Amino acid sequence: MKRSCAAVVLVAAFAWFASAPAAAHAFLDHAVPAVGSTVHESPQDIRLRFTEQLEPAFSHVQVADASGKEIDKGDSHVDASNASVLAVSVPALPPGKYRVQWRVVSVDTHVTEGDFTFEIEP
Amino acid sequence: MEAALVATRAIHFGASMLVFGELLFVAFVAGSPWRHAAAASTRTGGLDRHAFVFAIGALAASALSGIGWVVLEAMQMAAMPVTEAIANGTVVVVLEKTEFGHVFALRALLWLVLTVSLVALRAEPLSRPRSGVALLVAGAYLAMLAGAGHAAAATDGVVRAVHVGADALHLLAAGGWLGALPPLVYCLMHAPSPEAAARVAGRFSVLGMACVAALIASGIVNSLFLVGSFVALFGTAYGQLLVIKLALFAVMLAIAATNRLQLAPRLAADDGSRRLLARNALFELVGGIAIVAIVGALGTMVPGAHRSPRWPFDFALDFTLADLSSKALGLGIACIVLALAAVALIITGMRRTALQMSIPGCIALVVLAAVSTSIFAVPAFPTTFATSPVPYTVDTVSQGAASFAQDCSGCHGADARGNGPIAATLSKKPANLAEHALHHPEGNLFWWIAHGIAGSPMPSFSPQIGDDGIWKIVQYLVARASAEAATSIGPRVDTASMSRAPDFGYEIAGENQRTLAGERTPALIVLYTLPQSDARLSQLASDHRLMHGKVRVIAIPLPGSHPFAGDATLRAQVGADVSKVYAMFADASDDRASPHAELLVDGSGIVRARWLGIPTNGADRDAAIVAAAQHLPARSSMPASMHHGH
Repeated sequence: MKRSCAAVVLVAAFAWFASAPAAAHAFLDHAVPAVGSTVHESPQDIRLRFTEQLEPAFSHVQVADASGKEIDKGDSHVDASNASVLAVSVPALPPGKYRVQWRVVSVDTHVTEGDFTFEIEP
Repeated sequence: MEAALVATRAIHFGASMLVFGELLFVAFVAGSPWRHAAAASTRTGGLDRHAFVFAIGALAASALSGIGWVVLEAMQMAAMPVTEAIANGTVVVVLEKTEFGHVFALRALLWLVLTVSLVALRAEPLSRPRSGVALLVAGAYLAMLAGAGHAAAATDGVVRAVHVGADALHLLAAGGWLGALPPLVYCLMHAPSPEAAARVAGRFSVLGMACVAALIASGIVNSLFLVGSFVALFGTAYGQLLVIKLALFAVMLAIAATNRLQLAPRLAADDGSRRLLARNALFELVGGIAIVAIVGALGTMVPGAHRSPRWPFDFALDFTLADLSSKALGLGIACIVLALAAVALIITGMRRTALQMSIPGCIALVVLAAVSTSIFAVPAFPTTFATSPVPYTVDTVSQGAASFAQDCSGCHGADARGNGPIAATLSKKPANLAEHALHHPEGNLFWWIAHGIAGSPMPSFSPQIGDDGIWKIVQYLVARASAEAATSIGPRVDTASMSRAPDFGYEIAGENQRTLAGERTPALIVLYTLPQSDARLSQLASDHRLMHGKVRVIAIPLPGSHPFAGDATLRAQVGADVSKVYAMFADASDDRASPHAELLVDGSGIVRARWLGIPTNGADRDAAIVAAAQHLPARSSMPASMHHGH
């Protein structure tokens, strides 16, 4: 009885501490270039890390310049080594303002979408 | 579309549970007592045929709703209408390429196996080995639904395994209880003898209790993952729906307890209680259907742990014992003593079956619980547990600092220490926010700025300053208080540190931009002034121990200094505000600005150690930094007391 009580407490405690990285809708956790930031060199790719694993078949990101024209290389993909990272490559970009638009499906089927800008300054 | 998905999910959950519960009942509950009674009586039960028709019906409903679910998911994932989703093969892509699709494809196979084996078993009499095989398949068919839910999306492997396991157990236990209710009602109504009914009811109650125990245990694990905290339970729509679900569950438990304790013992003797028991089982089934409908909705919602909660009460509980007054402590001890007396009264009452003792004991216990809880109650606001929608970055901090200088510094002072030029004229001294800000929930700081503090000169700033603007002021206060807290952090790793380093982006030539928080690895932030710091920076660049110790070095010039011109790795380009905001973190405890400071920040962005000034022996300090980096706490938590003495 004592032992099973201890087991229950242990499981509950574990669950409690483990509850931080819990599952559900995928939200944008972090992006490079950072959301709203200004960089001085053109990035080689845009990388977005989400709070959950993504479904590669239905998760996409694209980058547009100030005029709204898509300028990425069209190779939007979920990182092979980390299923919660979405990336797209871009050519050498001239200074200006760029908008990143994403729409992802997490492995528990939920759809989330969003967008942010970053700026390249000479 | 959302409503269609909720309904389809609910029907699919319910139908899949019915199949499993039905077979479980046939194999382990009705089994031999039913057969013996049926053989001994001229009234044959006919459960075989009934069970078969019922199971096939539930399987058909499960298949139709399952197909509907997959189609609806395909429409949602690809954002296209139903005809297009089917015509252009999106449904196939879902089945082939997504984890949800894999689970459903495998379950379709199990469905086929189950249907074929049930048809094959149709003519056979009830037998445990045969229905046992079908039961296993039905169990797998039901439990695999856990692989298509919130649990399956966890990024951490261990969390995922525990959560999916608990979810699967929860489904099986719910199916075992709810699915067994229809055949139980059938058996009770058609039992060949009162004794047979009593035996079936007795065996069912063993199954029921096992299921309830499994439901509670797995439910606790699941809700800890998804609701995360008590706060989210009351403060988010997901949590509130879960509370309704728990209330329904409690009602079902009460009915089940009545059946078990009052009706079941009288079954063999009294035919009226058999009808009552059957009726109560139907009530339980209705409650179960309502719960499954809620489950249908919960799976489509954002779980509580991921939403900023809106706290519905004007008080919250703070169990920080250090903050208790001696009066409250005395009251608490009195409550515990009285509660023990009440428990003794209840137990004595139960032993003598004297309700006039037990009931007052229970009432006293409830009152004492309320009184003792009130000791820990502190004022709370709707935003008390809210998380800031504005990130904690150098940009938001410096924007908040600008608003603070304009609207707040008159009273609270330029350094937020409560010593502004008009502070002396006020009826109440303004708070020293540099000292206090970290000791209050950010949501309370937000509320006080937005709505003012009654009975004090603190005015309200909403709506003149928008919500985001107020959150930026809160972020500035967090940074200001973090800098203040950093003054007491030395070269030894401070495991209790509350000092948080604001996030910022930096660029090293030829590389993509990186951010402090994005990498989740420790960083040494070197705040320098040239020319004094030149030698130290060159020495840092040539010492590879930091790099091997997985510590990033980010060098930031303090305001007024030229940027470092040496090694490229220490020439990170940062925004102008980074120098200004981080200058606060270079202050010594006597408020004098140090021209050189080094901060060790852990992977969660918490300042854990700090060195002021230029070392006489740089190599020794590097060794100390690497050693400190090895001893950083693995997971950071941000304890924030609800209130503290002023």
